[in-house]
Amino acid sequence: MAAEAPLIELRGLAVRFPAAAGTVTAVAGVDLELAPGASLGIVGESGSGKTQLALAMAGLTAPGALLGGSVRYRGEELVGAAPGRLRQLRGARIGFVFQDPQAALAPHLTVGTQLTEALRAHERLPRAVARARSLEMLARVQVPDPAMRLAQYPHQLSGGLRQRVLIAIALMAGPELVIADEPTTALDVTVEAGILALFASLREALGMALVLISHDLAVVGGLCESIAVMYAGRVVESGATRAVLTAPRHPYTHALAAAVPRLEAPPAARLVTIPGAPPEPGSRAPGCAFAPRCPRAVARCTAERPELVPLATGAVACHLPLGTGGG
Amino acid sequence: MAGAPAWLPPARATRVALGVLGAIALLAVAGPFASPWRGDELDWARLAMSPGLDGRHWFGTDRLGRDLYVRTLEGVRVSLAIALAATLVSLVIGVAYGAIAGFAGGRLEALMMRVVDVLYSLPYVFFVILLTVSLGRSPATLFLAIGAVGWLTMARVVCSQTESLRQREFIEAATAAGVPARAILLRHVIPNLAGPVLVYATLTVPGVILIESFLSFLGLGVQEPAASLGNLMAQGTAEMESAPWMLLAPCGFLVAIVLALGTLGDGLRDWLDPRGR
Amino acid sequence: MSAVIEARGLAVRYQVRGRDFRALEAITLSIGAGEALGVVGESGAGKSTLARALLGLVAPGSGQVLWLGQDLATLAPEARRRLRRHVSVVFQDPVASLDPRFTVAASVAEPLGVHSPTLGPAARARAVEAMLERVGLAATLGRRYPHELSGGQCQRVAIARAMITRPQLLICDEPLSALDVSVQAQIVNLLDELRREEGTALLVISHNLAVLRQLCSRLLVLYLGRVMEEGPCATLLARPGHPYTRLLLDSVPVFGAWPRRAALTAEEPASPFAPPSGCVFRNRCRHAEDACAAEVPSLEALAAGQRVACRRAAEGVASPAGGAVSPARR
Repeated sequence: MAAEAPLIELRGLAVRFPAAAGTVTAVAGVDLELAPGASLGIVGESGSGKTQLALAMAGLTAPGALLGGSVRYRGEELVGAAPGRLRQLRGARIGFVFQDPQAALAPHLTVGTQLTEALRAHERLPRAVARARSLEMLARVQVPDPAMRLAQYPHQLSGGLRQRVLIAIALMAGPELVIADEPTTALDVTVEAGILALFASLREALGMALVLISHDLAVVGGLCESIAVMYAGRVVESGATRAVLTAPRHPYTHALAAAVPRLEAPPAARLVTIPGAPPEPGSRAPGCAFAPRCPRAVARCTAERPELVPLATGAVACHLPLGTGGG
Repeated sequence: MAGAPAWLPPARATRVALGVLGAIALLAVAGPFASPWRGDELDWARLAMSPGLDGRHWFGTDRLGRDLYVRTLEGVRVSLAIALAATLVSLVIGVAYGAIAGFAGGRLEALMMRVVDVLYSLPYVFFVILLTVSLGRSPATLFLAIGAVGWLTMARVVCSQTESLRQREFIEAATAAGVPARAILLRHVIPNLAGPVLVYATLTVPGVILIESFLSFLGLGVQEPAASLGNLMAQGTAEMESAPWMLLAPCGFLVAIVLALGTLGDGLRDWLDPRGR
Repeated sequence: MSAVIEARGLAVRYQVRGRDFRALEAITLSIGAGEALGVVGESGAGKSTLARALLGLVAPGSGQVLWLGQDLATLAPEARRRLRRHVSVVFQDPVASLDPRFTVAASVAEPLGVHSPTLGPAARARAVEAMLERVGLAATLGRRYPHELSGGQCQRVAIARAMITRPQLLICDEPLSALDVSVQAQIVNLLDELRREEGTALLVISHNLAVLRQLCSRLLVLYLGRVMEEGPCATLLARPGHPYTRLLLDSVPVFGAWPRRAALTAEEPASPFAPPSGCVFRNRCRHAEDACAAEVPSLEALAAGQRVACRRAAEGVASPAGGAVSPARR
């Protein structure tokens, strides 16, 4: 896809957790790559593994987990890397924005302290310089009256402001890649619009690459150049966002897009639904994980798991992708 | 655990604890029949004898020549009976009081808890002395003295648990559905309190035994010639240097009971949690 | 047609740390038999307080709530309790709304036991089974516990429990937020079906306009505890009268188009503890003028059935910044 070397590359990434009855597979082998300055949206529902994927990309996987495959950042292998090296990369090269701003900010430290802490973890700077950079960053994330905010505690800020502070913290050490896990899910829709616009303007200004995790196709649609749809721990479709959303090839992508009522489309008499529910992370059946819910499933689908096959416009993991026969 | 009946709690530690308690109870009731001695019989020939097979005094004898095996088991019986009865009373009163207070909320709750606070702050030994002086010394008085304050902490625990339960949506849903308050308390609140309450109850039993021991130790509880773990330990402490076995037996039983109850409490709480299934 | 539920000048105030917190102010609404009203608002709008006040779980500071024409405040507690068979609720968190110690069947059966005590156990069991199947669950699930079910299944159980007394009104407080996207559509369809086939009125509280358009014929827009606008869904979404409604519409992320950059003077809602004087929306409104701070705008009719609380509504301040929204089907 990219002419230059990818910024981050995943090959067969797997994340498993030991549990009482064997291991639970959160991510079951994902291949992805991202060019510098590009943006990728990862979409999925619960059990899709999208959060674990994001965490693995930033080297934040929980200590008890079993990581398999490879995550290469600028050629450097992150899986199995020393914790010290991962810590160095985090913040300085890879920034992470968590989902719930309330939970991710330390309640007992001021905003200013948390910002400067993020910076001084990577660079030895005098306090005054760190403070100046914090002010600059708050302004960049469009927090009004930054000087006042530096002295405030997280509980004194609204949800949207807290999220902006989280983004500022992630950006403090100037990373090349920002991974944002459902950054707007906990926010009101009017506030969400502002945060999404902020991401867009930050990318323009700073040129960093962005990986955005979401369950909302429209959020990803507006912000990301390419998209990967996950289901039950695997990527089932990927490609340029516009192409995937306007002409999805995988039945799940198609069904997901159809199941969401959209204001800009005429109302339906009845919403198109996907019967059943996403599978639990622990379950592992042979064949395609979506087959039980798929209207196009045939015998082959339950017997043999489809591989992610590259096509002209992206890739799809399906024996009978839409747009081919088997209608 | 393969082959074990389904009605037993699953965790091994809990089963062991249950087994230990069962064994102790059985021993306390049936054990004395194995010995030719009775608790008040004096063996003049073997005063203050250390444990051994001579004369079938397996736990030895005390200064008066009484068989300690039989006396210790009697002590276990008496202490356990008092503890269980007192815990039951404090459970019933404490849960009812605390649940009503916690569920009612507002001023009623504040009032009820203030009453608890006041009673809590009364000097305990003073209260017990008053009680003993007016009602005489007997297990019944002891039971009353222990039970009268035992429910206080239970009420507090239950009240705060109920308060947090009250906020949970399924309680709101029941209210919204028109379930009467009494039914909500009985069907929704109290069963969901079972976990913390059980743990607390199993902690109460050893606590009661210790209080009883303390009171008996002071001479306010179970009196001679009756035996309780408390007064046995009191006598044992007095003879500690010359006849250590007099202290070891009751202490050993006390420790075993307390440990078993603690383990049982945790195990029961987990067993009763439907999420464990 | 007499209303199933009515609120007249409903206000709810709390005392939080000595400060007076006005959660709801001057709410007036009514829902007729078989109708569906949507209430849209963001955090701080007072949506949950509204649900609880309408359910009689919270006492109003002023104003009235009427069920089937009867003022809740004048009813004896016992009479009110018996009326509850007619007004049911479905909460946001499906798992938390079910007693973890009750089987599914026991949870669904409970309202029956309360309101139809003469029903024998066999008849009750049959009713529960029938209701479970009605909401799309296998009757055998009755023996399970909530933690064994998925979020979507638990929400269906909650709906079954709410519907078993054949209520006249079902209040849904954010019934979809805790569910996966693919499951939300199923629940939306279910609610719609129940309304059409059982004649149950719906009050759906949500922050999701698209879902409300799907389910409801009328819409009420709530902001900081006050009604900004109300009227037929189709009208409000196509030709909103209030700048806040316009802002909500513009903020919804749209496939393939960058969210319309709604012009804001301040992004965040004002604190519910210290709402702006006069019109509570004025500090976020680009059309605000001095007069907006002076007095609280009252709800005035703008078009057929549409009422707006904005001094400048008639000037068309909420006209679209670009792009249109398809009208609702009702």
